[in-house]
Amino acid sequence: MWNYVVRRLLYTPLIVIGVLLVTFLLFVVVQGDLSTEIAGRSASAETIAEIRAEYGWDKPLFINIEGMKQHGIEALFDSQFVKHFVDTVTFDFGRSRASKQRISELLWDGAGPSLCLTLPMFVGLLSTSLSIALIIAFARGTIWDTILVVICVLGMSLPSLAFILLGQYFLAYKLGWFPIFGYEPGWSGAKFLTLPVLIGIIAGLGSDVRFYRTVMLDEIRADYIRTAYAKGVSTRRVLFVHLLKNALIPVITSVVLAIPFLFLGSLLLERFFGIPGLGYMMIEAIGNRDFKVISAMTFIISVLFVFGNLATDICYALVDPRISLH
Amino acid sequence: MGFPRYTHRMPPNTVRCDEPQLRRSLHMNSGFIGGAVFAVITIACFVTLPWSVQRYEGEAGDEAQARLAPSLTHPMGTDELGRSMLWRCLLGGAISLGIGISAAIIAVLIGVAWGAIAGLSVGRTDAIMMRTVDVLYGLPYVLLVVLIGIGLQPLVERMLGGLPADIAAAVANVATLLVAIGGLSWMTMSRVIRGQVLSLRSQPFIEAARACGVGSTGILWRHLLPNLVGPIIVYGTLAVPTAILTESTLSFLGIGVQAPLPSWGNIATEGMSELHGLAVPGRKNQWWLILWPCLLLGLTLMALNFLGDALRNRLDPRSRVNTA
Repeated sequence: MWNYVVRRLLYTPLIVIGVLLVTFLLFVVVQGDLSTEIAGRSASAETIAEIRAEYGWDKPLFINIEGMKQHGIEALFDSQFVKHFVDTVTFDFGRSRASKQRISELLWDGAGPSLCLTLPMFVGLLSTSLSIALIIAFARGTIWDTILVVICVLGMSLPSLAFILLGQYFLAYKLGWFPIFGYEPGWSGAKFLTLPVLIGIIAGLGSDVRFYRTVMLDEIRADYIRTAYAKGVSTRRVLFVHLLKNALIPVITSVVLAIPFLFLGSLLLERFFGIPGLGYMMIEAIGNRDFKVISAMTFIISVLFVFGNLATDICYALVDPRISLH
Repeated sequence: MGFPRYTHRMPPNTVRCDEPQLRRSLHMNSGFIGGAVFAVITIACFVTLPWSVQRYEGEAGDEAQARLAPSLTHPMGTDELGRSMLWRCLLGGAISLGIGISAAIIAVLIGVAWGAIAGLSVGRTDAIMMRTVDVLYGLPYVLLVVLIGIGLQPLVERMLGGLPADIAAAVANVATLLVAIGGLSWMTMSRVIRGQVLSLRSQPFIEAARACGVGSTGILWRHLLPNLVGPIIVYGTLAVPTAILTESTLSFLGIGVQAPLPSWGNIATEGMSELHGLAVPGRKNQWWLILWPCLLLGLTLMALNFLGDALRNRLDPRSRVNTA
């Protein structure tokens, strides 16, 4: 077990380097016109060259052979990729182009509101969809099952904008139960977050219930369920103890792998409800062509995902004694 | 490889033998209706394309005709610039569906090739290819689509140098979006195909073909691909709504199809400002600005989801294996 974990941890740097390489190459493709864009369309060639020097874009991409000839061996690594790599790994992402703030501070400030939105949404969605899936597993094959599945596909197909719109129009504007828009830090902000959390749960319910229903139905036909019933175990005990425990394995995968993305916040909800989280920041960064912010975000989520993957595998071993990691 | 294999989101395979006949027929009917609805919407959008392009007004509408309720001359009403909602929804539909379908085709091509090669080559190549898929799953999808879109756009615009600037920008916008979406949504497809190839290659008929002296290309083309048609059709069908959904989400956020050019997501977002306009005294509820694009989008996605489910129940070998 520990052997396995250590070996997986040794893989991690390789994957992180891969992720860095992908984001870096994307940068390079985008960078050419970025310098002209910063300088403005009518800028002279010198201004553009100055900007390129300021951002270090005049250096070679991977290894600096010219520099090595002039300044010795340590200049070999005076290249864009090495700088990008060192900066990113030390969490020094530089400053945002638009607001000139440090990106690490921006990320820190945005994570709070984002998590306030996504955590309750995630917990609510998981518990609701698991309970509904259990009910469906109990009522499988009946007309209720069919109706619920049709409702799920309906919910999956409605664009999320429609949910936001219906919620904002009816619950917030017509009925006045919630504020339409806005955010406040601290507990007083809860009234602003209730509606987006609710909408997020309802919008995600369709696909999640359908997924968990499949998981449950895969399990409910297993022999051990029939055995449990034959032994005279009550339906409730079969569903909540035997079935739920075994259905947890695929559930764990989707749950643990979803956790890193909680940090991204919700692009749509944050935008339409004016919540100053990371999702909102991302959209602004995209609008401002603020690539440093985007790449920092991509890096953080990817690293979290790699660890999420590891955590999933370990959770498997903890939940299911049949899986041995070696 | 020592890693336990997990499937990212196991595709639901639901119909079993012991389920009532009602369900099976219901599945087939919903699939048929879904296919019909999708066909009608697609044909309507693409057949009228020559006229809807002709009627495309960019930002210049007839101001006197702005915000008219649906009537005989404007069956779907007009928007805040006086453009006919009917024509905008038709052109927007052609763009949304075009992006969805082409992105799905790209995803299927890459996914099948990747999965088949990984499944056929044992050991290290397979491991590296599937680990790459794992890494790609971990990257934030929407951000990557946007990054690739921004990166490719100037290149495509340069390639279209002969066209007038605004048309070139519009074409480049749509083209980069569909390439970015398609280029990043093939991973599920490749996993399914790889699993399928792995189980097929150990079966006797492949062994027999090999014993007869059929080469590996022959085995791939003549024996494996025909057996992969089922999952390819199913996951191809289900890739279309996902791609359309991604496009519409990006357009909702204002980073998808760019403004004067319509797409369903785009038209709905423009209509969304109507909600804020409700606070202006004397402004009436202009439901038609939002209803049509959302309705068309929802209807298309639902039709495709039902069609995909019905196809899966018929064609996907995974659900057939489980009927035992």
